[in-house]
Amino acid sequence: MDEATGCRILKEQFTQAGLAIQENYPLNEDPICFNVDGFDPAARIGYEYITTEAGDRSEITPQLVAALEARMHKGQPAAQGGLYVFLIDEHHVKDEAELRSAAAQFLARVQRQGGSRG
Amino acid sequence: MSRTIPAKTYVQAIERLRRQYSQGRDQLSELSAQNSQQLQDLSGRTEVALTELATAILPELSPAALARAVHLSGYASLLHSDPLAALDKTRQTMTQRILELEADRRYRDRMLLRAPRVGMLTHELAELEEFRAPLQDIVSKCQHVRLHRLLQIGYDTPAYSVAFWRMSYYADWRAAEQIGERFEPKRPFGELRKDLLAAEEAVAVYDRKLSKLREEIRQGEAVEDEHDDLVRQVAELPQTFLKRLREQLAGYLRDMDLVAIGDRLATEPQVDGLAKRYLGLRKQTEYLRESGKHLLQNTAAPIDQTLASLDRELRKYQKPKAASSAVAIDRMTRLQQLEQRYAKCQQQAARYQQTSRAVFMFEDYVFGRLDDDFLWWDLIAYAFTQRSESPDKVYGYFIPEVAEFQQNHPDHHYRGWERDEALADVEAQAAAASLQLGQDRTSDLDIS
Repeated sequence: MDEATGCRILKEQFTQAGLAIQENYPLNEDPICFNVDGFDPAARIGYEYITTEAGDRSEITPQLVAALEARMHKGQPAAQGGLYVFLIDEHHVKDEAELRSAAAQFLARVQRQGGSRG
Repeated sequence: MSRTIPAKTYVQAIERLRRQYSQGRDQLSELSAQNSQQLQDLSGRTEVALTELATAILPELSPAALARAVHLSGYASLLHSDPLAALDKTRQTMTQRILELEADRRYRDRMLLRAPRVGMLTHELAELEEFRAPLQDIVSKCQHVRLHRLLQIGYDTPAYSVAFWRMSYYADWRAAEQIGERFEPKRPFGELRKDLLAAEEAVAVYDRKLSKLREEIRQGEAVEDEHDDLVRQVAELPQTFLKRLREQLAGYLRDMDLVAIGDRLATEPQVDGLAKRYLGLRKQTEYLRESGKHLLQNTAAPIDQTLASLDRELRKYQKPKAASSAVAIDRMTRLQQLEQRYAKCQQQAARYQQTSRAVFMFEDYVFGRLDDDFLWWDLIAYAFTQRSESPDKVYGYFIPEVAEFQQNHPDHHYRGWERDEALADVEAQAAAASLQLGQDRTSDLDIS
C-alpha cells in the first residue's frame, strides 16, 4: 500500500475517533524531531506511515524510533507531556481492512493508557 | 496508316485470356499436389518392397541362409561380420549378467522385500508414512507467511517485545489468530509452538528414513527391471540380429544397381519376382518425379510470366485516359499467339495426366527384366496401352534415362510381353509363395 493511500486511511480512522489531525506536523521535542504524517497537537496522538517511497527510512532513524518508544513506554497522559505515535511499516500492512483494524485497536489501547481523544 | 481496334475490345480479349491462364495455373497446382502425393505413396511402397526382398534373400539366421544371401546379393559383409558368433557372444554376456542379477539379494528376495503391502520394505514404508501423516498435518496447518517471524521473535512468550504502537504488533497477533483457528478447537500460539517444533523435528527424522527406504526400493526395482529386460532381450536376440542384418542388406540393395546381380537373382524365381517389383517401383518413382519436373514445373513458370504480363497490359488499358483510345492490331495478334501458347500448356497438362496415370497405376512387375538392355519405361508404356481403354500412347523422351537408352540403342523396339507370359505366371506364383514362406520362417525362427 503506498504512502498516500496509507495516510488517507489512517487520517480517516483517527479523525473518526475524534482527533484533529494535522498532516505533516513538525514535531520538535528534543531529541524527537521529525514531520509526523498525521498528528493532533492537543491530544498528542498521531501516526507515522513508514514507506521507502516517501524516504521515511532515512528520516525515521533507529535513534529517533528508540527515543520515541522510550517516551511512549513511560505511559504518561497527554496533559503531562505524554506522546503516542502509531508506527506503521508498509511491509507489515497486508490490506486496508487490516490497517483500519490495527488503527482502531491502537486508539483503544491509547485510551486505556490515559491518552485523551477529542 | 496502321489498322486499330477499340481499347475496350482489346481489354475484353485480355480478360478472357487471363481467365484461361488463371484456370491453367490452378490446374497445374492441383496436378503438382497430386504428383507429390503419388510420389510419397510410391516411396512408401518401394520401401515395403525392399523390406520384402531383403526378407526373401535372408529368410532366417543360419549359416546356410547367410551363405545363400551372400551368393544372391553379393553382400559379403553378411558373412565377414560373423553374425552367428556375435549373437552367441552377446547371448553369453547377457546370460552371465542375468545370473549375477539373480544371485543379488535385491532380486532373489524381491517378493520378501517389495511385494505390495506385505513386503518388508513396502510395509515399513507404509508404516512410516502413517506415523508421519499427523505430524505433517500440524506442520502444514501452521504454514503462514509470518510463521517464521512469530517463532523468531518469540510471539506469545515472555521474550516477545513488540509494543502496541507498532503495526507489526497487530499483524503478529492476526497471524497467530489465523494459525490457531485452523485447529479444532482453536489453539493458542504459545501452545502450538511446542507442538510445531516437535512435529517439524519428527517429520525431518521420518523424511530421512523414508528417503533412504525409497532409494532402497528404487534400487531393487531397477535390478528387477534390468533382469526382466535382459531376459526379454535374450529371447528376442535371434530376431533382433536377423532384423539388423536385413536392414543392412536392404541398405546395400537400396544403393546398388540390381541389374548387376540380375543373373544371380534369376536363379531363384521367387526372389527374382520380388527384385523386379522393387526395381519397378524405383523406376516408377523416378519416372513420376521426372514427369512432374518436365511437364508441370517447366510449364508453370511461363504461365506465371504470361499472367504477370497480361496484368500489366490490363492496368495500362483500363486507365480512363486509355479507355477511349485505339490499339494497334498487332497487339491482338500477340494475344492470339498467347492463346496458342496456352493451348500448348493445356496439352502438356493433359500429357502429364496420361503419363502419371500410366506410371502410377503400373503393376506388371513380373514382365520386367533385370537386364542392361531392358528399359522399364518400355514396359510401363506398353502396359498402359494394353490395360487402358485409351489407344493413346505415352512418351518418356524427356526422362533422362529413357533418352539415354534410346540414344544408346537406336534400333531398339520393345516387342511387348507376350513372349514372357508363361514365365511371368511362374514368377508371380513363386513371388507370392516366397512372401508366405518368408513370413512363416520369420514367425517360428529357432536357431538355438
